[in-house]
This record gives sequence, structure tokens and C-alpha cells, in this order.
Amino acid sequence: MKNYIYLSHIRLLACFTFLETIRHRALWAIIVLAVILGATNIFFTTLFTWDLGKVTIEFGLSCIAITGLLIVYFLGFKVLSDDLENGRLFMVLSRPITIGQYLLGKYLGLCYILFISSFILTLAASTSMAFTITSFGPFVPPEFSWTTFLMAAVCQFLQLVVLMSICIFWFSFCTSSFVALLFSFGSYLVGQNLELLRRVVTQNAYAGILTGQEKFVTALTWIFPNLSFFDKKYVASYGLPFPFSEFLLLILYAFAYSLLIMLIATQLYKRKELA
Amino acid sequence: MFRITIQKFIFPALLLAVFIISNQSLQSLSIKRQRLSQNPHGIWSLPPRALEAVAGEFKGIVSDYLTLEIGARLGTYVIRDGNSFKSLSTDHDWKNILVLFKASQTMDPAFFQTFQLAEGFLPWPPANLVYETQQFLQITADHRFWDWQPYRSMAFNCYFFLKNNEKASYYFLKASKVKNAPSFLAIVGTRLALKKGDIDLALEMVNSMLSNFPEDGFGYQDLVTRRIALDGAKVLQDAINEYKSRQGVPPGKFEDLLTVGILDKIPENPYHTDYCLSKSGRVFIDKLNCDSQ
Repeated sequence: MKNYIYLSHIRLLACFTFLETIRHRALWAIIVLAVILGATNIFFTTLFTWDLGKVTIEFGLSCIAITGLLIVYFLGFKVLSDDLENGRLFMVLSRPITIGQYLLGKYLGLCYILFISSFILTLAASTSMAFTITSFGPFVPPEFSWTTFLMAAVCQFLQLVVLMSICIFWFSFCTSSFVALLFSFGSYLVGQNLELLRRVVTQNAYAGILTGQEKFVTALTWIFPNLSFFDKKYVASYGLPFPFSEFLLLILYAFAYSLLIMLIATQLYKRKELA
Repeated sequence: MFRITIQKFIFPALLLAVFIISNQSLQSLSIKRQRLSQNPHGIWSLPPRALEAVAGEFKGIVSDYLTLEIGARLGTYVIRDGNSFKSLSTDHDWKNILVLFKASQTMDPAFFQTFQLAEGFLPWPPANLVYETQQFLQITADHRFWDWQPYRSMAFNCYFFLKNNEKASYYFLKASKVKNAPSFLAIVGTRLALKKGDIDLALEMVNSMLSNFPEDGFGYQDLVTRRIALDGAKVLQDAINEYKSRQGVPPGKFEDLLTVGILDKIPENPYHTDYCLSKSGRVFIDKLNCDSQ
């Protein structure tokens, strides 16, 4: 019974967050931008003479990534900071709702928004891709598969889910939402380049101040999320093999990392000066 | 009155004039720079790893953009001349264009458009960057493991620019080993290998093609015919080598091999022509390139 109430609070908060976010004009502006980008895909692709299949798939997945990032950084932070600035947070916390429930509810509501927008974007990208693929059949990679494309789109969504948890983490103890935004963006850049950094340090004898710092870099890979794992645009666009086991591991990684970060964020938020 | 005139007319007119002059000057400066096709934007000169870091997860799109940029730089420069247009010859800084190509390849090493553009411009005059193109193509070939065309281009460059038939036939062999490669690769490769006198390499090439070629596939029969011809050439070449080791000189004609008893009969040429024996004692499957060697 206790667990049921605990979960119903989270579900309610997630629903409210979803409804609140969906009313934001910014969300619709972002979605319209995404649909325009999807339509641009056809125009952009026909600028090329070869490998049109690769260009359209890459462009479609990049649209999903860009729009998702806009939602995470602009809408996500807006929703979180609005609660604090308008005093709604105190109203919520005056009820029998814990900080953990509040943060998890917010997080799930925002993830739901990300899911809906990623779904719309994948649909828009698929439509323009289907047009290009049927019109320029000979320029489609021989091993192209829609399944791999969908798996790549899901990976893109998972990356956004992880990023959203990082945003909440930084928001949980930064005094200003702008500072939290900067830290979150910095984490995104670090996450995207962790694999590259690891390669540079381990395979290069002349890595500047990082020469011989393999342990430090390895430690970083355990602290920051390795977002390049989720980047499957290259794989999808050339129809390269994408094992299902790797896909499952990515889901587990995203799930575990996000929840761990949310747990830490809850502890930090409890210590935050709210008033 | 004077103040109102200044506020309402002279000041806006001055602003407009400054805007027009500055905009016009900046546009002409930009066109001039574009025509010179000089330095690529500083960021593309960064080391490959730094470029990867800057592009993040959008490497593919950045590579697409760079390829378009290269195409625009290499295209014909057209200016308006009254009611018509005329094209101008443009001097390209090929070293800088190569930097752009490398930047694009760093972002997406398998992109076909970049490789085709590079092959279409870099090894040819006035760029003459043959060795750089070969390195570029090798990276593409490593990443486009499903595609025979990068190796075909490398083979062409070896044959046409570097005049190295041995290397050319080697790359044709590589290309012919790629799944679904067309049969002509092995045919051309064997001709080059034979030109160099390497029958074993030519045979290896055809056999490797035949090993994963469907029997009902287009070109299968051509390959079988070529293998029969090469088998015959191999028998003759081995016999000539044997003759040379015995007599110290190569035979003058194939019949000499029958006279000394090394062969019982001359193998039949499936191309309904005679095998050709060059003065230096090398066997060719036809007379093309034979008499001159």
C-alpha cells in the first residue's frame, strides 16, 4: 500500500509535468522547427550526387539529436526553475511528497515529453528518408535496414534521457539555473568526447599534459556518461552491423546511470537552500 | 528647424550611406577571397582529433557540409556580365583544398562523395597530388570494406599516374576480392599482372573472384575463360623457364618446347588466338603488348 502511494505520487507529478510542459509555446516552436528540418532533409540530400541514403539518414538522426538537445536545455531547465521561482515547489513539498518523489516525477514527465518529441521527429525523419530511399534506390547503402535506423533513433532518445538526469543533477545544487545550464552543457561536451580522449591518451605517446594519465582518464569515464556510446548515426547510415546485445547493454547503461544520478541529485537537493 | 532636418533626414541618410558602403565593401572582399580559394577557415586546419572533438556527435553532418564546401570551391566561378554570365578561371590553393578533404574524411571516413571528389581532382593536373590521393583512398577503402570502388581508383592511379602495373594489379586484386565486385576487375587486373609477367598473381586474382562468384552471375563465363587462358600461359611459362635452365637461352618459338620434349602439346588458347612468346621469354595470352617486350 505504501509503495503504491509512493508510485502514485511520482506518476501524478510526472503527469502534471508533462501537461505543464506541453502547454509551453517553446515546445511547439521546437517541434515545428523539427518538422521543417525534416522537410529540409529532402532538399539537403539532393544537393549530393552519391551516398544520398547515408546523407538522409544522418540528417534525420541529427535532427532528432538537435531538437532533443534544445528541449533538454531550454525546456527542461525552464520547467525546473519555474517551480522554484513561482514558489510552486513549496506548495508541492507542503504535501506528503518527498524531494525524491518530486525530482523523479519531474524527471519522468520530462522524459515523456522527450519520448513524444523523439517519436514525432523519428516519424518526420522516416517519411523524408522513405522518399529519398525510394527515389534514389541505387544510392542507398547495400546493408541498410530500418531496424538499425530505429535502434539508432532509440539510442538517440536514451542519450537525451541520460542528459536530462544530468541537468537535474546540476540543478539540484547550483544556486543559479544559468550556472546549472552551463555545467550541463559542459557535461554533454565531456560525455561526447570521453571516448576520443581515452583513445588519445591510451594510443598516443604525445598527449600533452595528459600523457601517462590513463588512470585519470579511466576515472573520468566512470564519472561522466560516455555519450558517444549512444551515437549510432554512422552505423545506421552505412547499414553496419548493430548487435542486439549491444543495444540491450546501452538500455541498461542509460537506465542505471540515470537512476544513480537521480539518487545523488535527491541527496543534494535535500541540502539545497530553497528559500 | 535645422535640428529637425538633421534628425529626420541627414542622420538617417548618413546611417544608410555607411551601411551601404560597409555592406558593399564586405561583400566584394568576401567574393575576392572566395575567388582566390585560399585559406580554408582556420578551424578546418585543426588536427583531426581536435576536429572530431569540436564536431561531437554531428560529425556526419559536418562532413557533408565540408564536402559541399569543397565542391563549391572546385566548381566553375561564374560572374554576371551585363545580361549574361561568364565563367572565370580560378586559381586553387591545392594544399588547402587537401586540408579540407582531410577534414571531411576525418569526420566521415567512408563518405563516397568525398572520395569521388578527391579522385576527380587531386591526382590530376594542376593539383598533381597523386601520393596524397593514394593515402586518402586507402583510408576510404579501409572504412568502405563493402565497396570495391576505392581500390579500383587506387589501381587506376597506379596504372595511369604512377605507371606502376605491379601495384595496379595488386589493387585490382584487392578490389576483385570485395563481395559483389564486378568480374571486369579481375580481367583488367590479370592483364596488368601479365604485362608485368606475373602469371601467378593473375591466376590468384581470377581464382579469388571465381571462388565467391555465382555461376549464373553476369561475367562468370568470362572469368572461366580467362582462367583457362591463364592456366595455359602458366604451363607454357613453366616450360620456358625449364628450357632456359637447360639451354641457357629462351626458345625462339613454342614448338621448340615440343622438340626438346618438355611439353607434349601446346595448350589451347580459349580466345581462339595463339599465345605469344616475347623475345625475353615471357608468355602472353594474346599479341597485345607481347612483341614489344
